[in-house]
Amino acid sequence: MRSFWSRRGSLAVTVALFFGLLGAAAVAAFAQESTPAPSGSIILATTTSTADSGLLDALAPRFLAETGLTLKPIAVGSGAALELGERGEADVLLVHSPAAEQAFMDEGFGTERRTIMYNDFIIVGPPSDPAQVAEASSSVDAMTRIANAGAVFVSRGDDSGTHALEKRLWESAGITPGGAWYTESGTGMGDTLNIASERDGYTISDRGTFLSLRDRLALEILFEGDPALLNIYHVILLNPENSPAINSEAGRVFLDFMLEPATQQFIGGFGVEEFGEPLFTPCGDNSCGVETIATPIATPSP
Amino acid sequence: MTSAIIQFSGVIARAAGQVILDVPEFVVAAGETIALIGPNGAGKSTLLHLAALLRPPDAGIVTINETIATGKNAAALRRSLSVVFQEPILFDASVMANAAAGLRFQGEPRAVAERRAGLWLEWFGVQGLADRKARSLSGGEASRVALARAFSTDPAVLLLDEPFSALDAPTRASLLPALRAMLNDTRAAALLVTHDLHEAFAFADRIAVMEMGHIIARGDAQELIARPPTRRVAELLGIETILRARVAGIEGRETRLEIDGARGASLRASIPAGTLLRPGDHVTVTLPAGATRAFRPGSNGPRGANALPGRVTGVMARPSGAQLVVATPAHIVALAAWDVCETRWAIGDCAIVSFPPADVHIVPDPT
Amino acid sequence: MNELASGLGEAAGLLLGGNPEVWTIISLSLRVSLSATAIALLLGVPAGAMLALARFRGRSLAVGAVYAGMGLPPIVAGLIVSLFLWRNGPLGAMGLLYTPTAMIGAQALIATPIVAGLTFAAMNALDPRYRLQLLALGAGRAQTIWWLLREARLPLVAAVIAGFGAVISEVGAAIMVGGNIKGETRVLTTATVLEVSRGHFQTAFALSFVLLGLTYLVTVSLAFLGRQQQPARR
Repeated sequence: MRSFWSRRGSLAVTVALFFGLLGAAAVAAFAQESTPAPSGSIILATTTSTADSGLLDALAPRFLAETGLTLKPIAVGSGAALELGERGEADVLLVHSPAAEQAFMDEGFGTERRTIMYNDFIIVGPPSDPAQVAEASSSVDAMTRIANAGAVFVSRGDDSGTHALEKRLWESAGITPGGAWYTESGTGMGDTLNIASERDGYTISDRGTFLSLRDRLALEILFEGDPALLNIYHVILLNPENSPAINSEAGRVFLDFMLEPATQQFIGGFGVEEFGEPLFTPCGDNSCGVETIATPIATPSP
Repeated sequence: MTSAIIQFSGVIARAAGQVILDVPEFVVAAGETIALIGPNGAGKSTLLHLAALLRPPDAGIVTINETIATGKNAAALRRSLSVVFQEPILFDASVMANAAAGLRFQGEPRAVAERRAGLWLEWFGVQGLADRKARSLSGGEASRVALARAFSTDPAVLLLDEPFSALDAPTRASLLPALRAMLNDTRAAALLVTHDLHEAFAFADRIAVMEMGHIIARGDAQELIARPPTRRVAELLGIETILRARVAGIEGRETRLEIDGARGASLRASIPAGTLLRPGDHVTVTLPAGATRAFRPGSNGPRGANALPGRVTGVMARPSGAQLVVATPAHIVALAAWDVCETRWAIGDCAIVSFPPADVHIVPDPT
Repeated sequence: MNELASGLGEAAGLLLGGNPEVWTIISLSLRVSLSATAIALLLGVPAGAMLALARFRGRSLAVGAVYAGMGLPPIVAGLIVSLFLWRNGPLGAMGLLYTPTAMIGAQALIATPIVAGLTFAAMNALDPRYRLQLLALGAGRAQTIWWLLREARLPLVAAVIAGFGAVISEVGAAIMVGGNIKGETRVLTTATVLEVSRGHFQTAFALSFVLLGLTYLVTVSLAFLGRQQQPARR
């Protein structure tokens, strides 16, 4: 009775009821909005650098026109993309992290892994090139020169695919990086390039990001072309036995689309208009033989 | 006996564990006006909030129109009540929307509510402000709107919590009679909380005096002033002269009293029926200034009245005359009519204070 | 600093040139953030009012939770919503992840505590005698709440503006549950992030200017709606 007198209790009930109704209305609104059925779209988990290139944005309308499926590329880190695939939160993967991909396949999370295209990593640095990286015989040699000269090196330090490659190179060179010359940026490729430029330092970059930022960087490509620096993209079809949510049929449609000659040709021309050179080299089903060139770095060049 | 609109039975209210109101019995009857007076913290506002069903009693019951108020019927019962607070609490809307709010809450259609509210705005002389923003009004205008709003629901009783305390004297002086007239016209009962004695006497038929959560006296306003039951009530009612005295002798139905601390000064007082006095008894007497007259020496007061000579020690001008403090040597407050000879009263003048023995009240309870 | 000037120019070009992609992004930003703000308004105002007016067990805990929620990082809101919307989550079957609806949900989660907290503060700041007067006038519960909200509408408008400002400018939740899909879930903030990582700083600045202009227009409109009935203070 006391609470009712002051209307506090009943007020609480009323407002709570109101709140509840609105909540229900909101949920109903959510439910209503879910008209785009999952079957009409396909979730592609991929890496940030792929999405940043703009290639997938350009492919999506072609994919829709040809297959009637909406492509939803979700850009996350390489590890996260594989994790999403493992959990069944995606329908298909487009990734470039060979070692992790192999482990993924070995554990039975994927049913098929096919080569689509590649680009490459480059070693960039200040035009003065204090470590004389431009004269290096291999990528491992280039890294050794940087370390020996004590020249500034900016690392991604974020466990990205690029960072993984860098760590393999140090390992092959028998160097444990550290000290005043070695900086970890902990950020993306673009920021890392900017930091290297500001500090007259070296870093490893994918070609696409460097090309897009080149105009505002005081950096040059000092080393390229080593097979160890190849960056190969694979599409992985996911094992639907892991999660009923995986739309493996749509995944196959995407894979087939990526391997089509018309798509391969489109990939080969992508970026020419903006950067003067393509960002990717199409290599559907290893037609170009890139897999055989890409020698494991574990056997360093002399 | 007219019917009780509001009735308290055994009502106790607490705050932070302390009893702040203890009213065994209290009634507001139809059509009557009651003023609640008393010092700050006496419980006046608490009593009004309880009467308005704005808070429940911690013990006891409040009855409205012979229905016991409960949580469930409080909202319905409140409809026969209107409350006006110390400050006119107007909402951020037009004057009309404010005045019509009570009727709208009772479910009246807008047109009906606004027509009725409009009449009340007119009664209080603020119909011209109907379209103004309520927040743009002056204090007096806002008070008039708040009163119009209170009357618009046609309440059986108005509960007024110091409604004029924020207003200046002229505004108050113009609103008080208007309110009084309105209450007479509508036959609405009213309960006025005030600490302004003048306001209380001008407004109310009946007075209830509160102190420390209790109603310590109540009754007809004139009767209370003439015969306060205790010394404290006399003080709270503002009765001007309160003296301690010793019974020096009994002469029929009168007693001769020697005033304490005033050598040789004595006065005669009527012995109230049923009071037994013996010589040597100590008593407290009260004497309202209104029962007294001060004269120049040589003039004569009424036959049979007390006539105490003394010197003027204080003068307060009043529209009706001067109010003097005369040392006889006991200090007695007395009124003097404007002198025909146009001689102003001044401190140090000689004066004779005259008052009938019947108006000297021997307080039954001297505490 | 050249980017600033050229970004401003490009912003004008994007808008006037009728670039359809930019207009899609703008309309999606508005749709998502205004919907989220509307939900926050519908949920947050009653919740804040309840906290201010009602007395119930656990009220101070609830108030603390709301105040803490005002600082909810967008990325956490995105993570919470993802948890529900993941295919293997409780609402996964609805297929809402990477849709504007999911973004609206996450942004509503960000804005609701802000609106609720500021509503609570606004209602608490009201003179308690207003409520007493409404009771005395015979107002019912709904009428009491409505009149008190009207009384506090200026700070309430500020609450809504704060909620909108928080969601139109956040990027963490939008990118997490929206996925930044072109034409579908790409809004001004996520598009800006993308353009920055692509090195298109000029375009990023252009989008930023559009975002600032849009935020300014919407908040000014909201403030105008509130001020329209602003009383002339005594």
